[in-house]
Amino acid sequence: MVLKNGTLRVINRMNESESTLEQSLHLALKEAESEFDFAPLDVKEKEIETFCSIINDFNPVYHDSEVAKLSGFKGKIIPPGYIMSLATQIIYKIFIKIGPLFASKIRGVIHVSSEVEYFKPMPIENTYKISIKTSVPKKKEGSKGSYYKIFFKTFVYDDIKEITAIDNHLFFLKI
Amino acid sequence: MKGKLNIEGLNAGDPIPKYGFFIEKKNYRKYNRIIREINPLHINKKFAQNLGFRDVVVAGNFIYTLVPKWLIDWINQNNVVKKIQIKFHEPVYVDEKFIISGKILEILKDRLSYQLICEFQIEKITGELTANGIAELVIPI
Repeated sequence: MVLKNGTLRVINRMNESESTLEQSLHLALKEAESEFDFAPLDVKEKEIETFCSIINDFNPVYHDSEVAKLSGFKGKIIPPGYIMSLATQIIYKIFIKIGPLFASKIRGVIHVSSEVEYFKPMPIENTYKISIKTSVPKKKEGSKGSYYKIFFKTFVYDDIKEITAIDNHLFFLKI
Repeated sequence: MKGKLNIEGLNAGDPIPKYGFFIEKKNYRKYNRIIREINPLHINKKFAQNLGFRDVVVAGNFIYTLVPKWLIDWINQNNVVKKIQIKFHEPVYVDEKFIISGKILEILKDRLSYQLICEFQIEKITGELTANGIAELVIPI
């Protein structure tokens, strides 16, 4: 795990005070977010075929280039429902990155809500990149204990740098 | 194959046909493999139980995948889903069935398109609410 010295100093100094944990979590998230900024989305045609078979989606624009072209698309497109699954792969890379630093503090990660906006259809053959911005963690108390509330705002860009989707997620980090 | 849905014939309050889905364990494992799932809550039963859940919890992003599919199948046109907000409630476990239902809240029309605002619920067959939300569809005239 490579984090800048400032973050490491805060984490090393970290005592049980909530503000320090909140601050160090925020710093670690910001560093991880910059590391994965404009990370490529790994879209594989075969995985989309498998995904569609799992959810029984036989819409030909995901399976047949000719039908997709006749429907006005450049080629087969990514099912809109799959875009969140692609974005969360990068979010989880951020969690993997910060995980070891907070392993003794964070018991689990729970996806609470999402808002997805679609701007353009996403042909499978294009390449995509993702940019993620995280909010400042806020400590909350719930019926099942304490947790941190963090928003992940993800922007999906196509190869001409236009936004194809914005995907906002709220996660609770259970402590 | 059915034709495009006649939007002119729709009204606020109209229900959207229900859609049921059963999450088979083997299919959920396949999904986890293709999306490279790493959250132990969705793959490790013991971990999930330590957090107070009965079993491995099906990820919200899996539940979500069915919402745009359900809407596109209903309208029978592609590229019409513009926005979906979803809030997750009761956990869904593998080998459970759930049903998506919803209705049209509002229909707006301009020169070029119809805008449909719809609400939806995802419930287990026991009636427990697992997710709900709002979807916005824009359908060209």
